[in-house]
Amino acid sequence: MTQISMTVNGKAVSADVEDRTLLVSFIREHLGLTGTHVGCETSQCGACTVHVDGQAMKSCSMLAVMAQGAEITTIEGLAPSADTLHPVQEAFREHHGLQCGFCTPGMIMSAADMIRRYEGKLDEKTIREQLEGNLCRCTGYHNIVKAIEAAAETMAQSGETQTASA
Amino acid sequence: MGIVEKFSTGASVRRLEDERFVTGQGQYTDDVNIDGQVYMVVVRSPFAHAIIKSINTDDVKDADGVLGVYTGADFVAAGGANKMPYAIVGQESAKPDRTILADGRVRFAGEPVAIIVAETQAQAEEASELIDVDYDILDAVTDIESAIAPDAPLVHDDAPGNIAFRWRGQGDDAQMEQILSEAETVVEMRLENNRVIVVAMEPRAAVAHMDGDKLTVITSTQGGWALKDRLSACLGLEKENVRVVTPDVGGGFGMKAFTYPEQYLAPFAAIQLGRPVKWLAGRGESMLSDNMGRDHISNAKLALDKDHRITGIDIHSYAGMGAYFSQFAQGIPTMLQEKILPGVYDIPASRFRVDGVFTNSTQIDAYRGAGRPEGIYLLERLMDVAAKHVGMDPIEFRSLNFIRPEQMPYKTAVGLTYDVGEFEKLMRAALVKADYDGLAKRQAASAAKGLRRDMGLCYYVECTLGAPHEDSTFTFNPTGQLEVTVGTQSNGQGHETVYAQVVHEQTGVPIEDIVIVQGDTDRIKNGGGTGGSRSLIAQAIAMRAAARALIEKAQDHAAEKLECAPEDLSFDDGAFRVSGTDISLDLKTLAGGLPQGTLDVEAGHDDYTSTFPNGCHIAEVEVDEETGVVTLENYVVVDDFGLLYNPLVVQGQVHGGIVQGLGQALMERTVYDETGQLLTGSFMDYTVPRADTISDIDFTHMGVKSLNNEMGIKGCGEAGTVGACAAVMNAIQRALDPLDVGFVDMPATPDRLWRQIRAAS
Repeated sequence: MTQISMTVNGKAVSADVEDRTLLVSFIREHLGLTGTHVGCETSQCGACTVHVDGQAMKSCSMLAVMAQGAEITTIEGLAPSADTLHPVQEAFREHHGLQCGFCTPGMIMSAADMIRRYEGKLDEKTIREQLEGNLCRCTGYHNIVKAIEAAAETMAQSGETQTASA
Repeated sequence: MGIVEKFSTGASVRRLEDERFVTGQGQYTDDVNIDGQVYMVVVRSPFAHAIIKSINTDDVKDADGVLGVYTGADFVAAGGANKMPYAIVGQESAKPDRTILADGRVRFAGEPVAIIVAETQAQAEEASELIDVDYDILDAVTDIESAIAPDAPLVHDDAPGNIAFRWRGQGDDAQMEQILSEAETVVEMRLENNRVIVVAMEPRAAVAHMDGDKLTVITSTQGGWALKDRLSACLGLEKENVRVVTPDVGGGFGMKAFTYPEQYLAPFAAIQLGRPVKWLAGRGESMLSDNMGRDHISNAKLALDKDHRITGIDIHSYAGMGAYFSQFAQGIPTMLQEKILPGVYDIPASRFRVDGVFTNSTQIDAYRGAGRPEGIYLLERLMDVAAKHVGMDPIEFRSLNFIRPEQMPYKTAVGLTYDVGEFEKLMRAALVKADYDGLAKRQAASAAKGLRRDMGLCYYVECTLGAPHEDSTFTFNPTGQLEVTVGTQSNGQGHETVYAQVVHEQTGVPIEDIVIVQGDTDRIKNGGGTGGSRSLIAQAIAMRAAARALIEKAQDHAAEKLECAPEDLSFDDGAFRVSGTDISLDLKTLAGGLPQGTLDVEAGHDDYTSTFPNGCHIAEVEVDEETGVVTLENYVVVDDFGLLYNPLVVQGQVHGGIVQGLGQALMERTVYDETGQLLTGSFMDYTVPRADTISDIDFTHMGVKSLNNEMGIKGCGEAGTVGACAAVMNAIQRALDPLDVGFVDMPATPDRLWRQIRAAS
């Protein structure tokens, strides 16, 4: 067992975990943040994507102990406040970028990071390539791509692209 | 948040369920945790075919954290009925038992052999390494052609030649032989429909717990009522002591429509141990043990007269079943496929025969469309083969043979009656959208780059299906919201939104005050579940009947409140109105002033009738003959779903369905090696479409209202998958025909196409 401490969605957390505990298990089981999903066991599907120190990371592909001292943002902590959605969340809803919702948290976390990395300058082709690490079986991706394009535009206009995953 | 512009029929209302999904507040089965919960893992056969000589669990029992280990014998000794249900459709059928836990012999790699329950998931997984099962390995057979070869190993001793069942549909042998012998032309085609792994993003899961005598099972389903009944029978519980709850479901696609061994085993363990038990499939486990789809080999003949009009269609299919019959496995390649085999064409006669085949592989059952994508794929490839054979443009060949609007209602050769359909009109609209006239120019531009470009077309018709019965209850709860129970089950389709549109339109109750209640067998006594594109049709009829009952029941109360005679009231635009005055009273206000329960109503119906969504898919591809790589350059679909409640949600269903079809056509290939090991058992090996698989889908709706229900709707959930495979494969075939590559089967992966092109040159 190792004691770990990190900041998750702005709150300091610490716990004793088995060394083999994956970050995703720590988030889901220890912290009870079940919005981060597990859809595969080979780091292909991206349903477990969170932000670690501002960068999108598949939380099934790192150990909880590796996140010692890190700042983690999960889907539950992405919105700026309880009654305001993040622009990417809003765009997914507006453009019907989700159906069953299972891949959605990972898609949104990847998208927010993508918009930050490209400073909002995203075209359809780039978005499709950059979504390589996130699988969806319901939507056919088309509305997901539209949602990300729209969110990138909104965020670029409002100057939010620098803080997309803060 | 400003999402509802106009909350009525035909409005693209933004989905009400999305706020919870985009904020991580969705609740899927694995998100449910119950105090004291323990974890179950399933020990599965590593071999595709073997005799189990012995199982020693001593070391497992001694392992850290282990609470219980159970084999099939233990399950039976504890009173469990070790048997999975299945329906027999074939006129001749083997009747092998499919057990919940193996009984002495295993027939596919992944078959459940034992379960282990421990305090933690990790402990249960570690203990599973300690079980000692002594297997005597037998020869395995994993594909249809090997299974029906002489001297093939037998999967079941009572199924000689591995023939699982024989079925024949409508059609007369003598008549068909005469049609074939008198035909000017008989076109023949052999085609494979590749086996696919369904891949719902949420793996199967169950959480079971006992509270006194009452068993509750929380599990991912397409409707929990059948599981409730079967759990009662399997575990010897009174039906009223079994509750099945389906929370949010992360995709089903037919795969979650039927019960699975683990849905009996987790409850069994919970009863044995007196602890809540959770089971969650890993992705590899899902790929090994989720029902798969398709797996057919068909030989088809199309008879034409001298004018190229079709005089008959004659089909024989081998349909893979996997190692056992899954619940509706026999029905899908037979009854369901037959329904749409004449497609949208005026075909006077048909004959359809199916032989089911056992192989040492995972069982096959419903996958989005279930039988209808297979049938339309076969027919629409055959249409192109026939057109080429007689030297006709495939568009004009279809046009010549279409059932015309003036022939409606039209009784098909397989006995269905199409109510409406304007096939020629939709096809022409699609051709304009796809810029058919500009194809030659685009082909020349591609040729200049050394690429082969062509266009493929599929005109599909769907036949929606499912239980004829559905119910709905309406209850104003103490906070003034209208709770509406439904017996269907959203797997992501957006029922909460579209059903609320139906109820709002009928009752005037504001959208924010309508709560759709689904997925709880204690609150909802019956349900037909979701499948066959039936949900909105079946549920809307029930909700509209309940709305009428509510208004009728409320009328006297409204009259009393408004101090008028009931006959002076009319109900329109969402409220009771006193004729000749501007006095009105809406249902919510009325209910708020009455004792709780006064306006409760319940209504049901047995009126669900199949409808016939149809439309035209056109795919345009570029093929690189040097590499075998196919690029999808354009995709156009024009659909007729009758009346639409929510065009945005419908468009989403079309996109998703088409991309699943494209996945099967272009990349999804399920591979077993000769010993029966699944080689495509993870996302590293099994390819599903990604965001860059396609660029865009141009969707247009041209609805012709159905006459088969009071709303005029047709259902859209499966249509995309039904039409997509043939459109893209016809395009690839046309692009490669000049190279004489022969018939191109799915999946058209670069490797397979490259080999086929090389073999031809």
